[in-house]
Amino acid sequence: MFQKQIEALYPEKNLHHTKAWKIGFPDRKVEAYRKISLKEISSLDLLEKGREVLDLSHLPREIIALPMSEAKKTYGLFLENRKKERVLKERDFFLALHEEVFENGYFFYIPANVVVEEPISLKMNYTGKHAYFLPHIEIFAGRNANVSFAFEPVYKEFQKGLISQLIDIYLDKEASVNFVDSTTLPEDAFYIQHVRATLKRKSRLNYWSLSKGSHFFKQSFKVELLEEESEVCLKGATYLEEKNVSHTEVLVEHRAPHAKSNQHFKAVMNDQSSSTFEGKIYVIPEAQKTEAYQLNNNLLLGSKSFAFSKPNLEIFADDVKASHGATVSNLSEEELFYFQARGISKKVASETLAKGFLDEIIKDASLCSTTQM
Amino acid sequence: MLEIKELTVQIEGKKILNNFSLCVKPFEIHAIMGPNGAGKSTLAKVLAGHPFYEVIGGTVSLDGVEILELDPEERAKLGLFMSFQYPLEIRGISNFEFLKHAYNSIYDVKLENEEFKKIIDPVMEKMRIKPHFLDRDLNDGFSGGEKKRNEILQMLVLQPKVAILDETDSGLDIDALKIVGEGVNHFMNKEKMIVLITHYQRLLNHIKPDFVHVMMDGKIVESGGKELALELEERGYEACSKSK
Repeated sequence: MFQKQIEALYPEKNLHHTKAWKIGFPDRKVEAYRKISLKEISSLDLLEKGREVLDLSHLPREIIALPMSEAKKTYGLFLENRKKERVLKERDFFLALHEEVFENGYFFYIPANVVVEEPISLKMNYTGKHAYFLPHIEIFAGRNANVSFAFEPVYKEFQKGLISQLIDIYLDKEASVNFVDSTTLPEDAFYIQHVRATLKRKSRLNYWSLSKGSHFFKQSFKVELLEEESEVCLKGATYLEEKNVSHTEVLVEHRAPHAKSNQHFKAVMNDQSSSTFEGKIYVIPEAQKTEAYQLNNNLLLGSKSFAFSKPNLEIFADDVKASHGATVSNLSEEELFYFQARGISKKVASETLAKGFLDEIIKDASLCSTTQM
Repeated sequence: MLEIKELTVQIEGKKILNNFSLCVKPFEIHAIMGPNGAGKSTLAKVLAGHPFYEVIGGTVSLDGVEILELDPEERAKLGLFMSFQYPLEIRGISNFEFLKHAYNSIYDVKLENEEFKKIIDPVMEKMRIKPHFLDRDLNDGFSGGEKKRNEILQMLVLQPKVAILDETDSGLDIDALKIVGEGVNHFMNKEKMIVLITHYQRLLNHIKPDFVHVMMDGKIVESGGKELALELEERGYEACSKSK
């Protein structure tokens, strides 16, 4: 059903012979989708192509920001190679499909040694009704460049649809990128996000994902620490209400010595909401002196809320510092009592404590954001 | 008036308070002293409405209103305040925000920051607390003394009718003890009541109680004036235990 609708939207693409079709629409046997309700997405009506428009007028002059069609004229080789690398390694149906059919998208080129002090706001407008959206952002940070992005989607004219989003970040030597992704989705958005990043020597990526989930929300991160002393920090704060869900999948690959990674994802579940987290740190034999940490904390506030956490380490080097951990807990009765004893209702106390639980992630992110969180 | 009549409380089947009775009138300070495990902190928590304890008998009223069936926040709104023996450290909310929330909730108002600052600033000065203290997360990383001073600051800002101070003196150095004593004395007036729970006589050098009670095994075994505290320092609680 799903594939037929996509074929109807893109009759010229001959999708039958593509990698996406070879991978096939996922089922429960695919680990990344084991905890996800795929029924709803397969029966979703997708009647048109969505439109995603980014306002590029306000960007700093030092940065080159282009719609993909124009970027291909100048940066075609880089973009084509990057796509080939992604496609070659990809095993995910939705991302493989995205690569086949996306037509628009934006490319940001930050030349070597360019430092932009103020965070750059990326406000992407989504327009469409029962539409298939393919937001696509590629960033190349040149040697020793330093830049922060605040990605804040706007869904003013959005009416139901599937958003299959790709954010791809490539950091050259000693580059530094902060990326704050604050996603407050409309209730009827189906959202699948792929974040891919490659880091070269001494580069550093900080990525924050702040979201409230939706009734279908999946984000997948894949980061390659390709050269020595590169460093990635992935942080997530998720606040779920009603029946919203959030699924997070992370793979950090240490492919060079002396690289560092840190993952910290926190989620608060109210009502009947649920979250899953599956994270993996993969260290190849050559990646000695790796430092890799992974932590997932969940706070269950609803009597019917649910959390699943599966942290993983796959380490083939022998001189490595690594740890992983997960917690699932309720609010502390003692903390609630402290608020109540000062006249504050249990409901407000719960909300405040939940905010406090996520605060260490949000506080860091707000330093790189353009709006109040 | 705070009136506790034959209050009996248990936790997991074990009686902690056993027919405890006490009457505190406005403008009175009652000190409750006693050895570890006497039930002093349980008394404070039960009065404030802690959910872990099971009240199996007795009544507690504040100005004629029965409070045992009320939620902790409703008791606070009636004018009951408990200073915690171990104030909790809570990240994600500043001292200022917490206290503003509490004030707005208790007095059913919606004061903005500037208006609330007018209330809190003179109290901060009185307690010799520096302004940046308010921006820090609630008790987060505070020393024992700072936490206790923060409790007294909360009491002075919230202006309850009755304050139950649970071992406010523990963890305080001599100077902090003096400041806390001054804060409590500043709080006291014709309409206020204080129940002071302590192990030691030293806080009573700064706060003069009208009555001193010795609590053992969940009830009061001896009562007297402020001189009783000095006597206890001499003879210890064991003598009370023998005469009980």
